[in-house]
Amino acid sequence: MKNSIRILIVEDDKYFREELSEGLRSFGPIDEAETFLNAQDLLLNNFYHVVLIDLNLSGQNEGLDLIGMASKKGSVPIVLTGHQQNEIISKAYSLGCRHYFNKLDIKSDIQKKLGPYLKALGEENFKDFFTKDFITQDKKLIKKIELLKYQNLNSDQKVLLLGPTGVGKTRIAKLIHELSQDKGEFVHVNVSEIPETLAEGLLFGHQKGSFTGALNDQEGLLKKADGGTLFLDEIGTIPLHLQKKLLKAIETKEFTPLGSKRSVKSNFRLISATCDCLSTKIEKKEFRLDFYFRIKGIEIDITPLQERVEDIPLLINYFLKNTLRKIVFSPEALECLQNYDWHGNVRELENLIRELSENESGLIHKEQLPFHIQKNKNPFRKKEDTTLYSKTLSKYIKKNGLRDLISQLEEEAFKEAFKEFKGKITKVQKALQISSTACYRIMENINQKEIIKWKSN
Amino acid sequence: MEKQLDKTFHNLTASHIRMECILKKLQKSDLKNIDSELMEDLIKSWEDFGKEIKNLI
Repeated sequence: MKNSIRILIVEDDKYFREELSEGLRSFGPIDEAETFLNAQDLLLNNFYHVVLIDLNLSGQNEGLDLIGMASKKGSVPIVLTGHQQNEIISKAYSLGCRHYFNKLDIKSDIQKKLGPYLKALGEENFKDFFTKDFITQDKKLIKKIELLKYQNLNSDQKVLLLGPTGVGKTRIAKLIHELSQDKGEFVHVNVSEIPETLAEGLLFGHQKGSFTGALNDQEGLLKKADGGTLFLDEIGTIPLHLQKKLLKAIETKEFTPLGSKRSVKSNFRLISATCDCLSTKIEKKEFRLDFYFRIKGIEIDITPLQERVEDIPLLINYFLKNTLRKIVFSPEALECLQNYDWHGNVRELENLIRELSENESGLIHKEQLPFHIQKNKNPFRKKEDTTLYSKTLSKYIKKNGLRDLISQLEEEAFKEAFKEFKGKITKVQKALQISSTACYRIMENINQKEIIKWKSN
Repeated sequence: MEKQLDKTFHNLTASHIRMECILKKLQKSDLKNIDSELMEDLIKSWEDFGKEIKNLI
């Protein structure tokens, strides 16, 4: 049994115990314990992937002790109880409980309600994901994606993947699709690659004769994703008029193909991805705010490779294993690769390893690495915006004048330094690099009461 | 007070679930030969449920 998990049910009520056992049988072998001692004995002598624990065993809260015990043995403790007191819930979690459920909430459909949580634990392949498909040690990211396992991924659950190009957004989208266990297809649409004039027809489909060249009826990509996942990559590049039509289709799961009078239904899950800053696009009116909220759902921000330095050696090893011709790096070359800021992310690293595997020498020295890597000068690095002048400042000046802006800035900077150095003027003066005359001039402009208030704070 | 209420609700939940499980079992069993132990447990759970409701009042 590939995904079988061994379960221990600790429940003093024999009828509910039987009910649980029957409901969860399909997940793997089950042992039952009626008392604390039974459970303790079974836990000491066996390994269980999951231990379902009733807290109140024969009138005592002995179940709490079992949580710690199960956790130490490497099992996942899940509490099923009638207790709803926050104090008890918090104690259970602090002892290592993974999930806490009220029996009343799950009793009617044990398999359906506990199923996703147990299934997730049995997914051995998932563990491989972070060592093969998406190599990372980024705990935050792993946790966020793991959380998706426990959610009943219904078709309404939207996911928005954020992160620069090459970080592996498509791989994560595919994983989410696999986790959902939908029977439908995974339809990958790179919005930026579709010519604007053809986009509507491709997404929504068209009827024969609806435009020049429409020789046949054509099913759209939205329909193709029926029962599966529609992955809209580079969604930041989607034209405004399409955002409006897509918004409605996402909301109602219904749309009208080009040239057709009849609407079509498609029950797809939407996963979107972008490397653009959507808030800037919204500000520039290039992206609709309502469309953003429609696609947002669960937001997963994937950290760029240059911020995941510890992943670089793991990735190098992984890519090296996959090259036909084996190569090795000298320690200096490896150090260089680790220090380089990979603006093209994992894709850039993978391409480099592939390219180097065809290098004349099998032992790669620092000098054999591309010049920009040796010097850590990424040609794709964006020039940092160092100008202070912004749209907000420009608006402020237009409204209140430059002099007002300067005095506002002076007062704010003074206030911050004044608080930091607890009112010691010489230190404030030094920190702001201004003369004592300038310092007192600023003070004069500030309400004296306010200065006293800052001092007392 | 909060602890007492939590305990009462816990007990109510327990007897409610027990009754429901027994009823399900009864429905599946041969109605001509009803297991007397099942019936006794059902009555006991019903009494426990009643006791807890009285506590609540």
